[in-house]
Amino acid sequence: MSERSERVQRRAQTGLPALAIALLVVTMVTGIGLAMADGAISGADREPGERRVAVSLAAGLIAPESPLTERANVLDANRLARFDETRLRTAFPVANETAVAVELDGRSVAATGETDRGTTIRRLVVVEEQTAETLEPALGWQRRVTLPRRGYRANLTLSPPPSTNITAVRANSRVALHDDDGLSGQYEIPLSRFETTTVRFSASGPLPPGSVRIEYDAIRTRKATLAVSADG
Amino acid sequence: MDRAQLPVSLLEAALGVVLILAVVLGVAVGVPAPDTREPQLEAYAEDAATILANEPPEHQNATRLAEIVASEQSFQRERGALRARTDEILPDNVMFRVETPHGDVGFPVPGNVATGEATITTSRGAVTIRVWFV
Repeated sequence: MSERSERVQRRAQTGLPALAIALLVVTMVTGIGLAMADGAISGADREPGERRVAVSLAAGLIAPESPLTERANVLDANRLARFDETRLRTAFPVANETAVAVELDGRSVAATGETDRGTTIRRLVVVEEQTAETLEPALGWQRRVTLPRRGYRANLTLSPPPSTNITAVRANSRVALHDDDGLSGQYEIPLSRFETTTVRFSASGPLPPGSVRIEYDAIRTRKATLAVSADG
Repeated sequence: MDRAQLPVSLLEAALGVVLILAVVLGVAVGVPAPDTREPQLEAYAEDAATILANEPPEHQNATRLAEIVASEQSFQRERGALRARTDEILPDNVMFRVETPHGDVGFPVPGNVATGEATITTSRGAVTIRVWFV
């Protein structure tokens, strides 16, 4: 074998491992590249389904016609306390297909599954609480009393002394009750939540303390955040 | 002649690697990140507007907001209260600006941020609330 052909053979033998290494490197980089691209695309996945569920469920929960609300964005504390998973499923059937969780200020209200990895939408709401309060005013010479809080209605219990006839009850100059023969017993009068109410009594004689008792719904509100999460 | 032994296939492989990485970089950079902040801001602005618009008044008129924008004087008198109330309604990580026919309340809107916006119509003109994340 000549010196030249020996050299050619050596060259061919170094080319083979180089080709193997080249193929290995290209295959590895292709694999890593595919994984990176896949990660980037799945990271940009907006999960439109669960986002839509969270957005529309949150909007439905605070809408005026929702089982929770008194009016738009105002939740009723009593209905909120009674709300649970069953009522959520009944009122919003989408909760059957997707795991959703409703939280108010971090406290769970109702949940139909785990939503740790899901999408969360927060809405601002006001929680309205109605408490019955009783007032037994000592009426002055003007015979009027201003209710300290606004409410939807008031219950009056009138028990005037025998010599006195209560002929009229006015709420802010609007005549709420009227009877020339004398009012006595229990009456309910509607109030406006937009203004403070002053109740005025017209009577033919003295009205000592205890002859009028007013029971009214005091409205108390507090602000809260309603968080709705959906997963799946 | 020994220099000719440099394996050409390794050179080709290096070129191939550069090509593949370029394509991958294009995919990784070109795909936008999902924008989840704007719908939440829109929801915050809408909620704040609804709550403000439905609050009972303290003195007169139909609602608190109508009372505030009723006149220049009432707006000047109530602007501090409006600012405090809006601040109270919105979460702590959100800043706001309320634009009324008589003037603006809140922080100046910075450029280059995503904002949510809601408008309420009152009898005295439109009131716009803009919110953005700090």
